[in-house]
This record gives sequence, structure tokens and C-alpha cells, in this order.
Amino acid sequence: MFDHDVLIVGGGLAGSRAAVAIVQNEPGLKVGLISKVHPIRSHSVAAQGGMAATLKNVDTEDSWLAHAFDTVKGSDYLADQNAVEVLTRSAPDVIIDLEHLGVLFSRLEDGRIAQRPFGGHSYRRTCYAADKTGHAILHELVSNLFRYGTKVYLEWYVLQLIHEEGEVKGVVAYCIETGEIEVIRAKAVLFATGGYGRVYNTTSNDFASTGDGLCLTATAGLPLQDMEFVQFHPTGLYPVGVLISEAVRGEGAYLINDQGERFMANYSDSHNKMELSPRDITSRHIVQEVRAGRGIKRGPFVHLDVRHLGREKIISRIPFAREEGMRLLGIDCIDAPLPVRPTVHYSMGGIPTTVDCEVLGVDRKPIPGFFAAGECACVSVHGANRLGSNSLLECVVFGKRAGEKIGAYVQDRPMPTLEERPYVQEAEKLIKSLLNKKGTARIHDIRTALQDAMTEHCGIFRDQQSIQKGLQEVQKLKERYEKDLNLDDRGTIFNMELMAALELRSLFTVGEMILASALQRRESRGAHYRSDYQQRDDAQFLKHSLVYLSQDKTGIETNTCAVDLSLQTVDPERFMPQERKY
Amino acid sequence: MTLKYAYYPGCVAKGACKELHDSTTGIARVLGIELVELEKASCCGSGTFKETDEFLEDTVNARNIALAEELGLTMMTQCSTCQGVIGRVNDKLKYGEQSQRDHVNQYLDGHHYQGTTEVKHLLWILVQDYGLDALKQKVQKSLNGLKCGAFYGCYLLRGQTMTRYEDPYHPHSLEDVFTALGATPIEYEGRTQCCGWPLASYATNASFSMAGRHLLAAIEAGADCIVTPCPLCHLNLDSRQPEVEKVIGKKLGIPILHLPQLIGLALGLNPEQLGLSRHIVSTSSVINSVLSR
Amino acid sequence: MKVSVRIRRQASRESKPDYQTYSVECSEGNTILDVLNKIQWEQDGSLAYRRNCRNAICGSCAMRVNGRAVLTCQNLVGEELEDQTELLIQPLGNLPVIKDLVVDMTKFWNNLKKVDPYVSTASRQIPEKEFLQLPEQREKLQSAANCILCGACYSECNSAAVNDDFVGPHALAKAYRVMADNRDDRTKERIEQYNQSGGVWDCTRCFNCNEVCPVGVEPLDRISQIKQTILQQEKMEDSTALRHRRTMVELVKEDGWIDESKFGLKVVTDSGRDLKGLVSLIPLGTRMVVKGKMPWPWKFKPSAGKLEIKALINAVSQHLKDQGKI
Repeated sequence: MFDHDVLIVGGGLAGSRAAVAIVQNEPGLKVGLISKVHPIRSHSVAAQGGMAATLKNVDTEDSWLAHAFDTVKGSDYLADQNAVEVLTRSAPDVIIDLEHLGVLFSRLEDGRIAQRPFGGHSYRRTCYAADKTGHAILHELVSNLFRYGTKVYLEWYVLQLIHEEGEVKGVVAYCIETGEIEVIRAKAVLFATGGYGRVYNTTSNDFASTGDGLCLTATAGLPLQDMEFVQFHPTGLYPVGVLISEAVRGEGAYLINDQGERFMANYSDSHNKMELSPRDITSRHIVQEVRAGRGIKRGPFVHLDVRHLGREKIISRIPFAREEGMRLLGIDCIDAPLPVRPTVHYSMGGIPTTVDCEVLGVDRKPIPGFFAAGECACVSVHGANRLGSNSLLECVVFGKRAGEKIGAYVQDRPMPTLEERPYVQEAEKLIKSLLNKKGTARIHDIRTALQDAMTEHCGIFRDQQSIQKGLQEVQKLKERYEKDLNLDDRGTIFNMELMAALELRSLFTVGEMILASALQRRESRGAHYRSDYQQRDDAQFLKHSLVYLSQDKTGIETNTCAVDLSLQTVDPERFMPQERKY
Repeated sequence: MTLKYAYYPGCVAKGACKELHDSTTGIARVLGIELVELEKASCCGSGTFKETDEFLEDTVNARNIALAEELGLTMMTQCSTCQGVIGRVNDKLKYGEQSQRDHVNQYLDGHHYQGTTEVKHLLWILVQDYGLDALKQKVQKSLNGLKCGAFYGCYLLRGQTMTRYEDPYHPHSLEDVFTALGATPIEYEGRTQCCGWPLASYATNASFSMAGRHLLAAIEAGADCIVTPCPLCHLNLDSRQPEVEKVIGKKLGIPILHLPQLIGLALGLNPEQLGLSRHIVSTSSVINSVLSR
Repeated sequence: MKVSVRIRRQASRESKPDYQTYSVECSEGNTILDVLNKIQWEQDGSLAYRRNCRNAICGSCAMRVNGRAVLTCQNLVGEELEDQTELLIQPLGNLPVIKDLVVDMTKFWNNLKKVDPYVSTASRQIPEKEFLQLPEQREKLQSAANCILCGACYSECNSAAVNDDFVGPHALAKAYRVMADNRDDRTKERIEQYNQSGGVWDCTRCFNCNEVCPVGVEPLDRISQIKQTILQQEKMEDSTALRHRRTMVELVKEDGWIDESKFGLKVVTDSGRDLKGLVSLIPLGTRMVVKGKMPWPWKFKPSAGKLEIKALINAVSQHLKDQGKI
């Protein structure tokens, strides 16, 4: 058994920022960071566009309240306004912190940090590093992990969250290289495990985004919140699904249908902002175009056209997008438009937390010893739909906040007591049972079937029938997994198939939680669009949904809780829920 | 049509590896290639001028290239390093902005770099301009049975990125020459790697370990000799072979030939004239095997 | 199309490597990573390799394909098969294999740590707002900052292969990125540090790092930039490596061509002052004399253009001095 004051699970932006915050504030604490990939390989590294903050370097009339309003409106009023206040008020400071850590933000002529427009934001407030913002930030943060000598469990996978007697005491972890199983005990565990894009068949997310942290939380009997809100980014490169950054539209790209029209002009909720409309709206319209037979050559995609920006601007502002097109499709966007379609990009829902990153139980009380931050958490700052440039911001604001909070929290929390053996034995049993799977089905086939089912039945458009169908199919696939799975690799050294089998458990659980949440929300809001309930219904559904395993862990239960609307006291007119028009 | 080149000898071929100059001019005569030596040229800097400043490397070599341009000839090099350094400068200036050329030209008193010529190693001149079939025709003594391992030199393969004569990881021009001469090419890991010469004056252990790995690999692959188009590689692989043996703790004793020496043997030139006795590792096994045919 | 893929397999750190060939149905536009995934998903689940973003930014999937390191999510089957008949896939070089195509990168990371790879602002007054950095100050860091730490350069590094102390091209590219950052306050220490053994002078300039870097870092050029900075320092302790560079310029300025015997004496023996250096040259010298290979100074012929060259180098030096570069 290993002991740490703090154990951070996940080394992306939120996890790394938290680790740095802890060592900076409380250098005496014994911090461990565990990740199934090297922290520098985390999906945060792929974030392209940028990070919003009202530095007012470009638009001096901008304010945190304006940023908050854009965020709340973008969220379709489901974001918790107290959390949004924390997010937007802290934003300038955390950007400056990062800059002082060495992050190479793009600059204005006078040397200050540059800011550009972004979809859903009413001012130019997105700070960026060309179109590799996540890379620029994560590399500096991880360098700082090196600097402070943080203990990193490199390529270890968490099998179980140890949640007993109402508190979290640590995790059970599996070393991918050696097959070693260890209990890691900690006064506080922070989940910064990222998203679950791999639940769907087309995603911008990396292979590791399998929602493990959400599954571990749910399996421990704790709730997840707002899981029905799955963000489809409008411009995934067709067919691979990798992202063409929103920055490309920020720089002025057009979305064009087969008839050569900028079709965003034809819809009432997007004709003002056009291509810079929020992601949920833009994604829906692309799918609507495709369904109406106006996809390019009647195919399942439209065109993203930047040719009018000119060679120089394309090369200097969006070089990565250009490189993606050339590398993956052989298309140079200087000369030709890029084929795009919506791709699963971000998880608005997740592990419910307070604004101090404390994880909330079914009874809405903080679970001692358990914290979450970043994409896996649901504070909620994104509500039903996240604005571009707010996710990196969330990771850094709440990662730092979690680090500060935890640093203080563990000071007077004793090391929890637990009996190690049963946990190790259970983990060994699990691994052994998987290594002994001798059926006929390949993991890839089951996983693909699950991803197809989720995409088909709970995608951009969904209804009661499709969701129920989805639930049935997931059930069937789970049975197939239990009864008929086969593994080629029965060793314990870097067994990727075993990892895939473990991750597939996460995909199942997360998928079911999404379906169950989607079923009970009989309205359309933000990214959740019910074809059978096309209107937003504040009277019934201006509230968060909670979803969790039943006490006996055989069924799924749902519940709701209230949305924080506290900014109404600051600006009642704007923060009172109203129709979302752009 | 007579092939005619502006011949850039390089420092080493006029000093420690004089046999390279002798054998190059020797085979040129036999093949009917006319060489006009660039008497006023200077050292390319062997990649170290850039470490002081890139502009130093650019100007010194723009002047070298300008000398060839004045003759209206392609510049011929016989050293991988010279080729990589001068070729790289030529690529950069030829395909770069006019302002770069103007800046360089401000310093070339009495000369003017125009970007009108090519910089080409003897190896590629033989393969591309002269032609391997023509070379084959000239063979007097087939090298049948001689197993040759190529050692290309880094700068030849990877120094230039604009003008690419071959794939830096799967080159075959030296092997093609061997075949044309009747010899058997031996492929081994390391033929495209570094001989260690740049480190030989101060990081001797690393330098000689590099040489040792590759020599050993060539021997294990069955090579009778190694043939290189680079006199700097030759210095480290041949002149320092006794030190290399000490560092790796193994006997080597593999002869290292300059490319034109091997060609010269096949063309029937006298080993003495080719300077084959000026080597540290005896080349007699190669000479005997060729002459005994 | 059917593609033959030969993969180096190794069951564990201690096991003997072996090659296994798979036949894969794919298209020219597939990446090498797509092919590996197809093998693992459809044919052989026991194949191990690293992958993550499949978009050339996370740096997980560097491997050797057909003899040199590439990012497998970046290179296409069609390009690889232009002049090869099969795909040969091996793990990165210069690092121990854990299993199949997965290598232990501990040394790679430890080497990176050795250059203190973070911007240090400890001794500076930390402003409330951002430090200013002009676009051109940032621009010169861009290529180094592109690094994704995939390990491709390290895999092919000739120096790392033989020299345990050499930190490697990735670390030195990062070293340049922090050293040249106008916000960093440790430039002086860094110059000293990178001048030490294991630093820039242990690079052998083989160009492999530039050649294989998938994201345009061109580590060799970054190493050259650190060397330039070191050579610009007036008060740098003398060393053979530094003398090597300075003597090159000096001798070319004098004679056009290098007088090799003079070069050897000046560089290795510090003009006779370094006895150990002198002794080290004796066996080589003797050998060369015996074989008639000695480049005697009296046989050396300067270039016919030596006066022009002297004038040129003087003018360039003056220009560089004016710019504060030397």
C-alpha cells in the first residue's frame, strides 16, 4: 500500500494545475499523481482554440459579468451562476498565472497577450497560442511537475475508487507495465479524469477519453449530473472526426452546403451570428442540412471554407488546421474547402461538485476526501452547452482552486484507515476473470457496436423511442461482454487488450448514464435535443438531472436538483432565464 | 559531350587525404570528365561556421558557389560534408527570398551569387550525369567477388532538404556504383549513420564508439572493405581505427576506401597512383583480391 | 489494397525479439497508426504500442517505420510504400523495450529534467499583469515550442546511442526554448550548464533529429543556436570544443583552406599548452608519418583567394559585432 496526502487521478490541465497549486502552496505535502498515459499525452494537449478571460487587452469594455452572461446564455440557463461567477471572475488571474509559468501565449504588437473572438462570446476575450493552446499550456505545467518532483504513477490505471463509511479513502490501481496491483491511500483524492468521447463512434477525443473517472464514481454509488448533455463540435474533419478548431470560424471561415449557400443564414437562431453561433445550434443545423439532402454531393458532411482568408492569414493564424487537412485528407485549405461534420467533443455533465471542487453525494452533501475538477466534473459552469474557450479555462480555474482547497483540507484530516486485502483480492479476481475470457467476440466489435448504438440512438437528435432502444442494445452488449468476450493477450505486461476491456466497462456505464438521463429530460435544451419535445420547458426542467446506481447496484435511478441563479441579484434582467437568441 | 565541372577539392583532400584528390583526378581523366579546380575557393566550415553564426556560413559558401557560377559550371564536391554544407547554403539562397541573396552579395566583394548553379557530389555526378552503364563500359578489372559496405556520411544524405538526391534512410547510389563495378554491395545497419568525426577532437570516446559500432556491423555483415564518399568519415574510420579498436575492445582491421579509389581500381588504375598505400589500415587485401583476378 | 506489415515483437523486457508479419487490408490514405489499430483490433490483440490523440499533437505513437522514427498517426501508408514493398515497424531506438513497440522512456524524461525545462522567473519582480513579450520575441521560440516530446529525435540520435551522458536533441531544443525566452532569468546559468559535458558540444551534427522531427522543431538548429550563444560569451572557460570552432574561423580567415597540422596542434594541444592533448596526438601523428599521410605544414598550400576570404570574414565579423552577435 502506498500513502499520499493527496492523490490526483489524471494529469491533464486540471490535474497538473492542481498538483502545481498544491506544491506551490503546501510544499510539505506528499502529492501523488496517477495517470494511465503520461501527463503530457493527456487530451488537454490537443485543445486548439484558446481560453477566455476578460483581460481587456483588445476589447476594453469587456467585463467578467459579460463573460458570465455569455456563458449562462450559452448554457441555455442550466449553468450554476455561482460557479460561472467564480469561473469568469478568476479567469484573468489564472491566465496571468500561466503566463508567469512560461506559457507562450500569442501576443499583440505591444507584447501583451492577444485575444480573439470566439463563438458565443460577445467580446474578443479568447487568449490563445496560435492553434495549439492546450499544448502550450500543458507542456509548461508538466515541466513544472518535473520541476517540483511530483511523484507520478506513470501508466497506472485506477480500478476502483475506495469509498467506504461515507468517505473516500484512496484507490485501487493497476500498473500497466507490470500488472502489479496496489492500494493507494490518501487523505484526499482528486479526480481530473477528463471526458468520455469514446462512448460515440465519431469523436474529436483521444483514445484514452473513455470516461473512467465517471464510471468509477458511479460504481462507487455516487451520482453523476447532467449526463444527457453531450457536446457535438460542429466541425469534425470528415470522416476521421478530429477537430477543426472553432478558431477557424473565429478567423472568419464559412460553412457551405451543397448549393454553395452559407446555410447558417437560413435559420432564425443562427442568422445573426452565422458561423460563430454556439456549438449546439451549429451542429444541429449541419445535421439538418445533411438530412435535407444538402450535404456535399448528398453525403453526410458540409464544407468549411477558408479560401477567402488568404494564404498568409491561413498560414499564420490556423496552421494546425491546414496541416490536419493536408495530413489526413490531402486537402490544402488554401485551395479547397474542408469536409466537416459534427463530432462528439465534450461532456458538459459529470461528477457534481461544489464551487470548491468537493464532490457531492446523492444527498447533495460533500463526500469527505473526494474532489473533482475539469471535464469530469460538473460544477456546473457549462450547463446544457459549453462555449468554446471555456473548457481550458474551467480546467485551470478549478484545477487551481481544487489544489488550493485540498492543500488546506488535508492539513487536519488524518490518514483514513482501511483494510487493504479485500480490495487487492477483488482487483486480482477482476483481472483474472478478464484474462480468462475465452468467448468468440473481439473487444473491438463489442465496442464498435456500443459506439454505433449510442450515436444512433442518443446523438444530436434523440427521442423516447430511440433512447429506450439504446438502453436495450447496451444491455444486450453488456451481456455479450460478460458471456462471450475473448482476449488474445493473457499476459500482464503492457496488455492493451486488458486495458481495452477495462475501458469498455467505463464506456458501458457512462453510456447507460447518458441514456437514462436523456430519457427523463423531456424537453430540448442546449445540446440535448429531443425530437419529441422540441421546446425548452423551464417550468419542469430548469434543474440539473442526477443519475446513479440503485442501492443494490442493479438498476439506475434518477433525480433532480436546483440550478443556482444567484447572478439574478446582480443583473436580474439578463440572468433571468429567457429564450436563447443569437 | 564532355562533362565539365568546377572542382571544389576541400581541405582534407589536399592534406591528410591527398589520395582522394589524386584518385578523383585520376578517374576523371580516364572517364573523360573535365575538372576545373576552384583555386580561389575556401573551406566550407564543415558545419561549424553556422555555430558561430549562420551568416558566416552563408557568405563564405555563397562566395564558393559564385566562383563556380563565374565559370558557368556545376560545382563538384568530393566530400559528404562539403556537399551538405555548401549544398544547403545553395538551397537556402537559391530558393529563399531575394533579400537574403542581396544581403549576402553585399559582402562578396568582386563576386556575385546568383543562384544559377548546382552543387553536386562526385557520387551523384557519376550516377546521374555520367551514368552507371557508361561507367560499366569503362571497367577494366571487374571487382567481382569484392564485398563492399557503403558509408555515406550524414551531410550527404541529410544536409540538404530542398535538393534531395536520394532517400536519406534508403540510399542506394553507392551500392549501385558497386554493382556497376562488379562488386557485391553489403548492407548493414549504420551505413547511413555518423562516423563520429565531428566529436573526434574532444569527445573521443563517443566519437570512436560511433565509428566502432558501424565498422563492427559492416564486418559482421561480411564486408571486405568500406567505401565512403567522405574524407572526414575516412579520417575517423581509417586513421583513427587503432583508437576505435581500443575503445570498443575489438580487433577490426577493415580497409576503408575513398569512392574514387574503388572506381580507380576497377578502371585499371595503379593502386600506388590511387594512394592506396597512404592508408592507416592496410588496403592490400583489397588490392590483392582485385589484382589476382 | 493488401499490405504486408512486418512488426518487431518482444514479449517482455527480457525476451528475445522476433518478427511477425501481418497482412492488412487498408488504403493508401490510411495512417500507419490505422494499420496498427486494424491489426490489434481485428487480428492480434496481443500487439502492444502507444497511441492516443491520432492527431500529431500528443506524441504517444512515435515508432520506427521502415528504418527511421516517425509519428505513426502522421505518416501515410501510400507514402511509406512508394519505394518499399512492406511496412517494417520497430520500436523507437536508443530506449529499452518494455513490450513489442512500447519503449521505456524514463531516460528520455530524466534527460529533459536535466536542462531545467521551465521558464524561471524566480528572481524577477512578478508583475500583476503579464510579462511583455513582443511577437518577434515569441516568434523565435516557436519552432522549439512546437516540440511534442514524442522521442523520434532521440530514437535516431547518433550521440545518444554511444554517450550515456548526452541529454539528447529533445532536451536541448527545450533548453533553447527556455534560455531564449525573454522572461527567463537564468540565461547565464543556462549557458554555463548547456556548455558542460552532456550538453550541446556532445551533439555530432548527424542531422537525424532534424530529419525525423514530425513537427518542425529542427533540434539541430536549436542546438546550433545555443552554441552561438555560448561562443558569443567573452568570459567562457576555454575548452577543446570551443577552440575547435574558433580555430576553424581563424585558420580559414588566414589561409582560405584549413592547415590540418596547425589545426590539430591549436585545437587538441591548445598550441602546445595542453600536454595531455599533445600526448594523445602522438600515436596518430606517428602513424600518419609512417604512411606518408602527415599533412606537413610546409606542404600546405593556402587558397589563391585567401586575401579575399580574409576580407570577407573580417567584414562579416564586423557586421556580426555591430549586431552584438559576436
